[in-house]
Amino acid sequence: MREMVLEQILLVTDGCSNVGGDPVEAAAEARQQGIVVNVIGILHGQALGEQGRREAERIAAAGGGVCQFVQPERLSHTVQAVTRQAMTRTLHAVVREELQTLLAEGSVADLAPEQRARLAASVETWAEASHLRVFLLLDTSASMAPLVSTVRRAVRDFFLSLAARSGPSEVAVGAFPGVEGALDLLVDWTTDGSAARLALERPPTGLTPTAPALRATLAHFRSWRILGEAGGFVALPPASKVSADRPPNGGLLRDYVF
Amino acid sequence: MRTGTVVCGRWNRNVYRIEGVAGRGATATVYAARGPAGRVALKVADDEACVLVEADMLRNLEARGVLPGPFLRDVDEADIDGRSVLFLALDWVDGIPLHRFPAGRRPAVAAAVLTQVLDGLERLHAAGFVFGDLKPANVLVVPGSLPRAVMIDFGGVTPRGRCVRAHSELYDRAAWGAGGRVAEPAYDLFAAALTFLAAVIGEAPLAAALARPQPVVALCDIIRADSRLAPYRRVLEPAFHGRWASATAMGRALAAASGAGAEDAAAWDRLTVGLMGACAAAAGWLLLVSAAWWERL
Ligand SMILES: Nc1ncnc2c1ncn2[C@@H]1O[C@H](COP(=O)(O)OP(=O)(O)OP(=O)(O)O)[C@@H](O)[C@H]1O
Repeated sequence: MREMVLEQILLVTDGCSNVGGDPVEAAAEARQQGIVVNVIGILHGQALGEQGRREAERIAAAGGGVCQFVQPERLSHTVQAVTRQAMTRTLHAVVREELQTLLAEGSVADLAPEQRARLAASVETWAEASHLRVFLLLDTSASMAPLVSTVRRAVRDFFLSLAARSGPSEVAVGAFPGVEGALDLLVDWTTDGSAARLALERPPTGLTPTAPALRATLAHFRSWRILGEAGGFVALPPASKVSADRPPNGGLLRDYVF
Repeated sequence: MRTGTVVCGRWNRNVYRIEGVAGRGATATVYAARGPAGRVALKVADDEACVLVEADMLRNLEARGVLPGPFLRDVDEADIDGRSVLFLALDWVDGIPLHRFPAGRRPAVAAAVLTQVLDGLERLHAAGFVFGDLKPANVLVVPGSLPRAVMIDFGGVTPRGRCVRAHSELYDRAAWGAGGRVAEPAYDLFAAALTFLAAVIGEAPLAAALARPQPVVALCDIIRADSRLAPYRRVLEPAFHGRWASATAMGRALAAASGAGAEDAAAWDRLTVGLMGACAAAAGWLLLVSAAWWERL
């Protein structure tokens, strides 16, 4: 059986898309390919209006992900919280399905809080050991310019947390709009981005092509998948990071079903 | 929730009356409340999965006997404003957060607090866990002739070797470039040293040091520049460089330093008493002389 890989796109934006089609459709395409789309809306100035908020929520809903709005100073924390929440949500869905096939009736919501606490702890253990692949998709249109250092710090901080996970993780970072196309790849898939340079200072533009950027991100995921399989290598980072005593997922499931 | 709101647990049927807000964190809001067995801290979840894991961890630590308290009394759900929310009821700790405890600015008092924190950490580490989110706000001090330190917020407690569950940037060694975010004893000891320092000199100088290109060097400069911290240098600097093997080792060095610090303080006190005595004598003598002079007129 192939190991389960949790694939996510995390869109960080402060406004509404204004060119290139509907990002909600692009998010739905991602979800069909098994890639979850999360959105963080940064609140500063007048950038993210009512329209921007609604769009962010709809992108996350269509992408099966989490949406949160934050003040710039909470960005680092939120990037990690949203990623974690989306992981546990995906795994909870797997558990629910598993439970449904095992028990004819009953659902997780019917469990007493003490039992749900045990379930949550098991899912967290599982999430920590899982293979995670995240594409950080950063809006770098003109209104984001004052936030460059905040975003850079949040990305660095995210790398620090990923480096400490016991499961393997890969990150890539892209900025949109690209200098020429829809998206510029700033950091390609890496297991350790702490030394990566993040060229977030970009020529100012009022364009926010969220939908094309999402599609370009999907294409980047696909190229990785094809490369990983055709090249005959399993897309796994250094073995040292995979803990040897990692329990098989089935064992974790059994823990709380019985 | 406002004062007087009544929270009824759906599963365990306990009733709590809200008495006020105690604090707001990243994952929950904590209320002071009165329950069937007296006062509790009611932790109402914003991030449910996070608080559920914390509840499981508290049960786990309790079962292993490593938790000195506050204990988890209840985990339940209630309808608040038409929404089902998860809450924990914890023993109420009648203390003051270390950063708002005035006497904590005295190095000797902060050292007494740190000693107790290190004891707690040692028990946790011995059981295979790391506290994680250690900072002055998570250390409550119960005033008394011997101030008692109680650690709260076990939401950051992480099994060794995993990524620390919760951290605060100013106390996070990874943010200081002094190591990774992997849960290991040295992670806590770094935060413990900074907690002591923040109690004595406040958070502002620490934030300024963190903004420098070589933050740990800037931190060591702060300590060298402050004579009150001199006795504690041998405790703090190894913690900043991840060189203490255990909380116990750091605690032993702290005991030695506190002894020296207390002697310093005693010597200082003798000096002040001596000086004040000399001043009083001089003033008295002046008075006498001037009185005699007036007599003569
Ligand atoms: N047992 C307790 N007794 C008294 N006050 C408490 C207790 N537990 C928490 N508090 C108060 O509530 C505040 C928030 O609690 P806590 O730190 O547990 O929440 P949190 O959401 O985990 O916060 P953080 O963002 O620090 O992780 C604390 O700073 C403290 O002032």
